[in-house]
Amino acid sequence: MNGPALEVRDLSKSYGPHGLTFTVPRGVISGLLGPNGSGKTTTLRILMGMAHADAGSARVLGVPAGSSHEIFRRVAFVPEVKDLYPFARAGEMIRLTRGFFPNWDHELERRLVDTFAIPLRMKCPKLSKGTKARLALLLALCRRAELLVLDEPTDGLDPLAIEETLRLLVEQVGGRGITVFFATHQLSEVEQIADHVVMIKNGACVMEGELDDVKRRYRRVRCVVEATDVELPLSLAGWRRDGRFLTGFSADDSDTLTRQLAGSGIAVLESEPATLKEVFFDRMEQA
Amino acid sequence: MIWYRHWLETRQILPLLVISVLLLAGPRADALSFGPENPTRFGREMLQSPLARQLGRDELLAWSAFAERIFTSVFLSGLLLAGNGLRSQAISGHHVVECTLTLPIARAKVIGTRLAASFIGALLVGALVLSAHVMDLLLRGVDVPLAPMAQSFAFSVPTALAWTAFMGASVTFLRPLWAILSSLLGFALALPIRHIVTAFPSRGDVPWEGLSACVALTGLAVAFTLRTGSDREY
Repeated sequence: MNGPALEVRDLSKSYGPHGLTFTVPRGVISGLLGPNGSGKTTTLRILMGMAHADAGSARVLGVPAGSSHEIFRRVAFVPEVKDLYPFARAGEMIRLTRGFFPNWDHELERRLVDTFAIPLRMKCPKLSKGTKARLALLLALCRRAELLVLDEPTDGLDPLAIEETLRLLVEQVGGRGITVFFATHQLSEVEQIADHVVMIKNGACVMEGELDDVKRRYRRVRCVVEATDVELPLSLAGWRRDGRFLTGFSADDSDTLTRQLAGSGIAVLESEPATLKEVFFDRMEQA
Repeated sequence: MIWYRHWLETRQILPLLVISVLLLAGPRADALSFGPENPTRFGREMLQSPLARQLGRDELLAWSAFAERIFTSVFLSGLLLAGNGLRSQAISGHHVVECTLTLPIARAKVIGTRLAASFIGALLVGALVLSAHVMDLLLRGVDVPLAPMAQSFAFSVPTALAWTAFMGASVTFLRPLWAILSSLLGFALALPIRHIVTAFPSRGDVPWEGLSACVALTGLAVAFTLRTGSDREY
């Protein structure tokens, strides 16, 4: 029970992850970030046993990914494309799913049906994209899973529904100590609710860690080159130069960086914590 | 709870199933015109069977009509209940499984119980047809040839099983439209022999060839469906 919620080691597939390694601890909200085609959805599908890895390993709550459907008693997954039966009404989808989970949260179900304004008698194909997303979220949340895995959970939702969804996720983690792992393109959502982040590009992890730690470590630095004949250290290769001024990002400790640059004739003018957006763009460019 | 899923899927096809069975296999005014008057349709060989020789003309005609009805019903039930897009509103067999992937239930159980539900549905339709036929005969004042009809019904069970298993398998590898077209073609090809197939047991011997073919087809189709469904990536 004390191991990580997700443990991925050298995971590879012909499309998607390529030597991907990361760990998500229990009891956190973790955001999986990456550009289109970076392998986020494929990684989630491998974790959920819907696709097979070519190499490497993945464990979900300590259980090898895809080894047993019983894992879905403890894990809830909301895929990118919300799979709802075309022949069922929204209320029937809830009833069908509820029947598989003895610990179903009836109170939460009633609350979410009201909050999300889910038309119980409407056939699933007639539901709007946003309502489908809300219904899928309801089906995932009410089963009282230990781990929620969500692929683009707010896709198709209006701003109000997005806020409500994010608030719900935080509430679930705070109230029941569950783990949430969600893939998204929305950096603001990760910054708003996540306390752990995994960034991937071309199927490989380029950064992972506690979000606060990442933001504290990662700094936006502005320097001035004091002499004209200074040769820039290799560590500043990706930095932007504007005349005598240099701007870039560093994961080095502020004092260490100042000492290193001083040795090269460069003085640090400003060093501020970077935003997640800045970290993300820098990592994507550098990787 | 998986049976509730199958009910949700099946209920929409029930009106179509009832209408189809009534149109193609239900009571008909000209039922008594089929049979020995046209031995090529009824099966010349069957008319020479010991059981047929024991029956009177009306009973023989009644049996002939039942053999046709039960066979048509079984095929229609398999076609409509076992998938091929009709039962699931044109979603593929893969999608049938896909919607249950995040539930704590094995894929094989979803596929297997869905097939079982189709088979049970086909049997219920068969029983309904049997009851309706008996009622029809009683109302006409015709003696009911119970033994031959019971034998025909019994042979319709492995036929229904094989047919529903085949339908279930075809929907896992064919696109819904092609699956529907191919099964309709199969149904059309089977129509000319609809009088005689379920009457084979009454030739006086056990139709081992037919039974073996049904068992082999069922086994292969189920194995293929389960294997494909379990290994597939989603």
